[in-house]
Amino acid sequence: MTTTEWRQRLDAVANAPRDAASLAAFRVLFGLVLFASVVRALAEGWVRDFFIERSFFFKYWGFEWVSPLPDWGMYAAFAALGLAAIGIAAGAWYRLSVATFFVGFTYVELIDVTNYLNHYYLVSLLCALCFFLPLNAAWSIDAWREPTLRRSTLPAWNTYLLRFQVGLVYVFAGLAKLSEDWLVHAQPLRIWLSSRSDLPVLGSVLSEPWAPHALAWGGFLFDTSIVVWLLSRRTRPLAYLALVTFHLVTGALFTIGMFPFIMTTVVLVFFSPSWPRRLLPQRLTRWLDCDPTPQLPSTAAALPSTAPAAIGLVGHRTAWLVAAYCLIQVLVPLRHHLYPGDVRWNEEGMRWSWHVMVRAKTGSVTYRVTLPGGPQAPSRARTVLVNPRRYLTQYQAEEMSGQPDLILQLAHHIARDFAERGHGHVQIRADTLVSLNGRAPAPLIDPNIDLVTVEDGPWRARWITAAPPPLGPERAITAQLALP
Amino acid sequence: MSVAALPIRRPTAIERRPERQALRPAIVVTACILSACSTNESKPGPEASGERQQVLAALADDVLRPAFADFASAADDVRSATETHAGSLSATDRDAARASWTSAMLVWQRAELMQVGPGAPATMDFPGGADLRDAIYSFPIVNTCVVDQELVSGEYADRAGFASGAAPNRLGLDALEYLLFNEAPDNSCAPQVAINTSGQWASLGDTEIQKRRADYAAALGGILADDARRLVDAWDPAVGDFRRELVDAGFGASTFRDQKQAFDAVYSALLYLDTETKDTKLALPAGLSIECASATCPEALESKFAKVSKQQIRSNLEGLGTVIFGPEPESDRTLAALLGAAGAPDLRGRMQAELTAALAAVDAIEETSLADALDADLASVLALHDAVKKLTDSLKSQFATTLDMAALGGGIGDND
Repeated sequence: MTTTEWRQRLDAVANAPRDAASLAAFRVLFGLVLFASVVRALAEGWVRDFFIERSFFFKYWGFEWVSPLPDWGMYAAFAALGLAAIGIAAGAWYRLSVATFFVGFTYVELIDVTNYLNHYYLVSLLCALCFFLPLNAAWSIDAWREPTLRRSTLPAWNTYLLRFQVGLVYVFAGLAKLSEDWLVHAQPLRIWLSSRSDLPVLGSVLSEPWAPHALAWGGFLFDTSIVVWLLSRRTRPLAYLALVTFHLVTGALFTIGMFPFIMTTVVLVFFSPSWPRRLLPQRLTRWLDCDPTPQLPSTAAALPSTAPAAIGLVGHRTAWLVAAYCLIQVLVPLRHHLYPGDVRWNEEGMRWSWHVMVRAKTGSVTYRVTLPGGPQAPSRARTVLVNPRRYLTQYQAEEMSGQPDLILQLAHHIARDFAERGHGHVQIRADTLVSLNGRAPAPLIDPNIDLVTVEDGPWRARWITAAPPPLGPERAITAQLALP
Repeated sequence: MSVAALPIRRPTAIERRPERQALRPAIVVTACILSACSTNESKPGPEASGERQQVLAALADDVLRPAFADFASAADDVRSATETHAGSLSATDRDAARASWTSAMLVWQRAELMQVGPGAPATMDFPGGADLRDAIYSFPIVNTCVVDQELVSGEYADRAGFASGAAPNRLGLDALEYLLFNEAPDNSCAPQVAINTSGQWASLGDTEIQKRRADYAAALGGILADDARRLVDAWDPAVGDFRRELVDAGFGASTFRDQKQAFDAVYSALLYLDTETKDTKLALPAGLSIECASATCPEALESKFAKVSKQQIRSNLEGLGTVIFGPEPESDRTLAALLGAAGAPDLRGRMQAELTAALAAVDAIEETSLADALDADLASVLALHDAVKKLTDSLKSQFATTLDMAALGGGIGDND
């Protein structure tokens, strides 16, 4: 097959017209989940807890300029997010709504690194994609108001792109579990399950010695294979049933907020393009289509075309942009392989890599600040201890304790604070003891390095210590199964 | 109850069918699982909940409630001793009142590590919090000047009104220490404060000041005993029954979201050893804090008048030991036992050794008071700080990780 033939075939596949109903339903449900997330954040008091009551904010490298708004501004931002989410769901001023949500949500997430969650990152990515996809072409107020926007079909690559993005989460989440801790020791699952014995029905099962290992292997196999099952028409219904069950169980077991709802919603892009028409009454879908025709065929293929033919993809600049996006999305989660050592320990390349629920990590951090004795009496230099809680909330302190770049950031902040208080240029070293997945605590940061002299960046951090040794054999699966 | 006896949901038979039909069972299963999560009927009883609930029960029955009862008894002694002293103003009765205060204070210092539920701050971050601790002892928000101001105003005479209206630092063990142990004729307020500028303090005279101090102490002794009884009652199954809220967390009790949050509350209470004992009571006076501008800061010691700071730290350590290892060496329903069950018996042994070492470091300070030790043997105080830090390092790292505990407060969000 020649290159031209390949391109033609790819073009035909990518631009094949697909019923717009599936992506319209995706937009509606995704918007509603986003709205629920915003309402939940307000109801939980997180605007106050995360943005108003904190005095220090951990910055992302390259985004140090992002700062919180005044109190009223943060509430206004969340109100705008809520309105934008409704706009997305309704397809009203769709581009503006999705752009507002993307910018607002990403801004909110960039304010403090300790707020980072994988599914928040996924929301930002999906919003970015949604901005470029005409998901308001059907079942939207925009299409109702402006008939020229209406499309009964959308090119297949719109769906494939969203599938790729959602599927990537599961694949990389599965690959992250390909470790001795997870598969041999069932850690950190075993730690977490031990504290869930109060769960109805599940609690007594989870206390069985085999349960952590069963769930660890089940989770690993689920994450690494679910995309395959979802792609096959024959296995898709069962796969979705398994997926809903999986997310409900994990949602009941762990404090993962909207994650189960987001995933069970966005995974619907794997279903056939006309799945909403099969579920909803024909009268309703006809009304949503803004179509007065009394006899509407039930499948997209037979729908009258209400829009120009799908735009070509391959050979277009769009194709290259999509390819570049996909490549980046594959490479970013793999970047931790560029750094030596265990990513769960040194955290280099940890974020934006879909390393979901693979580490239980807490520690103790104490800064040793050496005050200069002054030019007249350098020998009178004095060392004081600083507890991070002096600057951080309890939650921030616990999040920071396992993340070296955040420990470094606070060290720099302490140095600035001491300088502003007239103590001059101080030296700061960190005494850290961190436990990873139940291991004995070990220093995370070289205690002899003056962190003031260290710059953060994407390059290898030599001031982070090597990971502690693997978990001992006493916690291996054989030992666990031998328990009475 | 065995697992076999529990109501078990039989899996729904799943047949191959078109998507339309396939989504329906998914919705049904979802609804069933959600309903199982949201009702209490299908929850296993306490006997099926495993060792973690037994640990909570042992904590409540063998550690927390006995500690609060001990303190209530000690507070009753303070009440009677301070009333006797107020009636006689004799040196003998004053010494008896002081002795009763010291006993009560050291009992309370163990309970400082047990600020769970009613003893915790009354904020949304601390389920069941009722601020009872601050009414009993407000350290480190101690302010002797406001005590002197109350002395002048005499508002403590209306005991009931004073108990309900006064700020915590005008009440409790800290104010009592100042009133019972401070013999200086002067007050601790700055010259520009009203009681000095108006001449009110000067007009009282030494005799009246001593009498008012005794009367104020008697009022506080009575309020302290009442507050101690309130704390005991709050946990009493026949009265407030917070015991049930802790023990049945996740099993029908509503104060804590689930059992894990109940354990988080216990863990948060243990962190007193880190923020207060290590940082405030040791690092600050020993000159290890930036708030101390000189080599040492004895004025920052916890007990400035009774000079029992060293014993207070020892009691804190004993309190932590009781919470983690239980009241008896062979206790088996303890947090330490959970460590062993979680596959970390080495940690249990290490923390036991660290606690023993910290207690030994207290005892190794030869001076009677910590203030004297800061002056004569700073190294021994620094050694104590280091020993306590080793213990808190273990507490905040492997202990928290292994038992899946996190501190309450500070806006805890989701995870993934």
